[in-house]
Amino acid sequence: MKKPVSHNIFIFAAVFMVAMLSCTHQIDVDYKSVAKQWVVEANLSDEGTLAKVSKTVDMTDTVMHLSTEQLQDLKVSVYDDNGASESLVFDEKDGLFHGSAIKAEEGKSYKVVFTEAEEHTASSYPIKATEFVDAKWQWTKMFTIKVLLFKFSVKDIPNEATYFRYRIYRNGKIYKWSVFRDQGFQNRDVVVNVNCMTEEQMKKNDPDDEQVLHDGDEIRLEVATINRVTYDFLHVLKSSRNGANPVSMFANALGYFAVYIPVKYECVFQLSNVLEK
Amino acid sequence: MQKPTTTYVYVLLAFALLLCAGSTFAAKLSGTVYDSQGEALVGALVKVDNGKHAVLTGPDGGFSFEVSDGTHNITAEFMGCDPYDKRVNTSADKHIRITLQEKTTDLDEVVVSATATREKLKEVQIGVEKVAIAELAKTPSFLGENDIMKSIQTLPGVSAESEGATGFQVRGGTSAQNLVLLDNATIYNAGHLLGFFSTFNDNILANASLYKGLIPANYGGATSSVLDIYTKMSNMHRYHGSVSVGLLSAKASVEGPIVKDKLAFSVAARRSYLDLFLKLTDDYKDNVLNFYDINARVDWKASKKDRLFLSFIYTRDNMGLVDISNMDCSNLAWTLDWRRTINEHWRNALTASMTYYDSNTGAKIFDNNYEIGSYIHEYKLRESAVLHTAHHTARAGAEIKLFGLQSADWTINFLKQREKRNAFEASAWLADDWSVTKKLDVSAGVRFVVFGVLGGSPYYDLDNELNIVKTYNPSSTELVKSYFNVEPRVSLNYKVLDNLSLKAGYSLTSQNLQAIRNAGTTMPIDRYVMSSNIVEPQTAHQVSAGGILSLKDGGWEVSAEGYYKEIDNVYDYVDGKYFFSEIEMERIIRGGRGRSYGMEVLLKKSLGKLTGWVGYTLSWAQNKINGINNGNWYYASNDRRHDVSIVLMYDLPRHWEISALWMFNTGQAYSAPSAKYTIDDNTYYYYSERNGYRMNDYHRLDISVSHRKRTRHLLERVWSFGFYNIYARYNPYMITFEDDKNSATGTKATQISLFTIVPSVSFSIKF
Repeated sequence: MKKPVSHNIFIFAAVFMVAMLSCTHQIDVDYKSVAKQWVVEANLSDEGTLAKVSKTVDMTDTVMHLSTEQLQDLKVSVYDDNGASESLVFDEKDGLFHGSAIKAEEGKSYKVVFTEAEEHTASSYPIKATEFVDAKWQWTKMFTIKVLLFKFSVKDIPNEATYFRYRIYRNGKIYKWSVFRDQGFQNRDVVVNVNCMTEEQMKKNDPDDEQVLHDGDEIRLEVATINRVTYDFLHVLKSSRNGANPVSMFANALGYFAVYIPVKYECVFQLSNVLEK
Repeated sequence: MQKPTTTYVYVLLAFALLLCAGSTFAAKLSGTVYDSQGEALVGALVKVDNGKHAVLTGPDGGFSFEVSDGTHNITAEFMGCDPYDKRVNTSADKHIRITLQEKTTDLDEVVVSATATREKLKEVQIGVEKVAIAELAKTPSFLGENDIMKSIQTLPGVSAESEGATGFQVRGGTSAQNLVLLDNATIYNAGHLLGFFSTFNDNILANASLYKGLIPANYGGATSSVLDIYTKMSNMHRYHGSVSVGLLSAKASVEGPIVKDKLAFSVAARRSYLDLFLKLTDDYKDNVLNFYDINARVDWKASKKDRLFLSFIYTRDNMGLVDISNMDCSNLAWTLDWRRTINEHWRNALTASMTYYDSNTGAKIFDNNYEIGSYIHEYKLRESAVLHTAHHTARAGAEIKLFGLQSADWTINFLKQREKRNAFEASAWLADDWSVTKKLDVSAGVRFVVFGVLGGSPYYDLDNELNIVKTYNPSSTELVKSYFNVEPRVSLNYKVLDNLSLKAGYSLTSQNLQAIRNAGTTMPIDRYVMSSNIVEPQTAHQVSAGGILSLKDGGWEVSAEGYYKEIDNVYDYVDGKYFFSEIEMERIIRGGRGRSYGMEVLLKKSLGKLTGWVGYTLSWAQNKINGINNGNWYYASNDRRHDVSIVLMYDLPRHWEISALWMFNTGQAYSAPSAKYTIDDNTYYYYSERNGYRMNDYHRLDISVSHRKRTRHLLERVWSFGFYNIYARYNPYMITFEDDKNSATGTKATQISLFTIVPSVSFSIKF
């Protein structure tokens, strides 16, 4: 080469190359239509039972809930292994089935039966309750992005594989949920970091962005141990990898039946109380 | 279809015997084979009439045949030399002198010729492709890197794992079912930078054979294909070297004699320098992104009968985002090879090799720490012998491999776990290439494989939910389980005409070490599993048949092959499981079956200014694994109905060359949802079947232009310019689904494309 090549050319070439790399664009998919299926969410805690019933819809439809009339024709019942049973009552206000007579207790197993034209049954049992340890808000930096974490920890159930579910409510509505294991924290406090929002999201404060927290938001955290079958359903549902459906706990219907005794933590979100790492 | 059985072998052999016939001899054809220095070559293989008669030269380089009157085709081969191919008239006894020229380092001296097509006509094995490194150098390259692994993806029946990947899939198999050998040492993950570039530096490669159909009996350990790559013999007479600089990496090589005509060396090295650009930025300066590889070889002519070489390769990738993640992997392989010519009929090869593949990945996400390390250590000793007689080329050999596999050694916060297994595989093979008649050649062989699972680490019994119900702790000397496979391999080549051959064959192959992949492509986070008390050896039956027609004295080739393959014990992750789920591999995978079938057509032009080929593949690939797709057959993610490759190379005046590659394949099968539902007020998707949808078709055009010029100082300089995907098509790499409030349906599908147009430039100088 006659002349030494300047760094600028290489930098330009590298930047140009990277710019040419990956890109995304929206596409139309010719979705297949399949028969609609019932979907059941049944949660039995130490306060009683809540169940929600819905149906799948085609990909080209907006997600619609069943009408009150359709739901009132359905029957949802809970049974314990002592022979006690309770028929859940449909509440038009929240569209859920409620029951308070049967409550989750350690050492018992339960069954929920959902009846439309046919019966769909799922069984489950509670695991020994965990204990709440600590919770805090903290800013942390991930690469070049500043992220707000909600860090909490609970006690592991010693000497056994333990599976948990947490649900975080904001102003009474579900804000975040997930499941986790004690993998890496056996016989210790299990630490969970929930990624809530980035600093950029917070500054942008888009009213459509449901992730953004505001001063005064009332936060309620519920953490509970769950059995492995329930964990597997929720874990696959959450990760939804390889186009895999979670294995339903109900025969001929989608859904799960979780029986648990939660621990709770409540606070009011204040940005000024967030710790800097 | 029922499983093919060894009955096929007997039918094929009976067919061969029926066609058996004798021949008459009238004249003596003799001669001597010399090297370029005029020294007689001992052990050169001389064949008459496409291998109808074959003999190795004796101590004086001499050979002799009884042949009939008329014109005969005579060929001669010797390791490190260009083959000799000539027609000779023998109306009376004749003595000829053959001089074999040593191969040199210059790529353009290994020219594309009609020899490959004529060799293919003679080749009794069906489904074999010889990769000419010279052709590779002329085809368009990605970012200026000539890559043998990408070059073979242009052949019929071979496709890329994904956009830009070096991992290749053969006849509906996965890349995990291929065996890649470099100088007889196994290379487990032959990819740099998450598989976008292969670990093989083309500067040091001599040739490669891809066995995509019936794998000969002297190969084992792969159910899909074998890619057997050899490095160049070091030049015993002259020093050569090259330096090359591209957008991504720079490489250099040098070779020459240490003791002239006795001992020689060659070394090649390559390093990427993307990380040097990162250092020029504030945000990315502390991150790591580089790869390098080093190849070395020493050749020794110990005597007229003995040749040895020592070959070495070390490759390494370093990737890391500061304080967040790191991903390092390396390959180290050594081969010591001793070839001895016992006498004019008998050659022997003793090879010792070892492979160390290591991978380490770590991530620190919000104070959670994950580190995983894995390795495969393989030690191999192999003895093989070849015996040539007038009508037979018999091969026999044995091989012992010792495996040390650490599928994972991880730290997850406070948890430390490790799974390490040991095993051995002993194989022996016997095969014969038999010229039954002038028209019929048969290659029949059998491979015996014993796989022994060794103790020294825990083994388990599992229930149906994959929970451990019993744990064993056998001592390291204890044999936990053994598997024995008898693998017949048979091929027929029936020459209907001098320029037309019909071929057919059957093979049974097995594989005891399998990669299990979360992603669709080869990654350092792949976990490996060996046959154990639970995992069974993967086995594949394949039948194939086809023909090859040579036109214009080998200048044109038309070939077609059809195949049907069934594979047992294909393992994959259970739904919802991934490489970190459990340390015990058997708890997170399930086995099933696979099948693939299709046909391949190749039209190739080998002579003239314009050369190239058009390849077309029509194929189906399906899997059936318990627990996936309700236990029904589903299309494998590597199923491609139509696959077309067009490669054209044209020599322009004034030392310019231009080449183009157009690839097309039917979109990849993938899983898209068919319905949706809400849980906890979030939308989730319902998948009615695995891989029930197709991505958009894939196609792209690559163009490359090169200029070669020799200077007065005997230097050759080459400038290459190229464009990958010149019409900037957004080819699908992945499709994701998510909620979208702005959409009428509440859902949007997004296609991710990896590369649009990518330019490249490289400069190299050779001496």
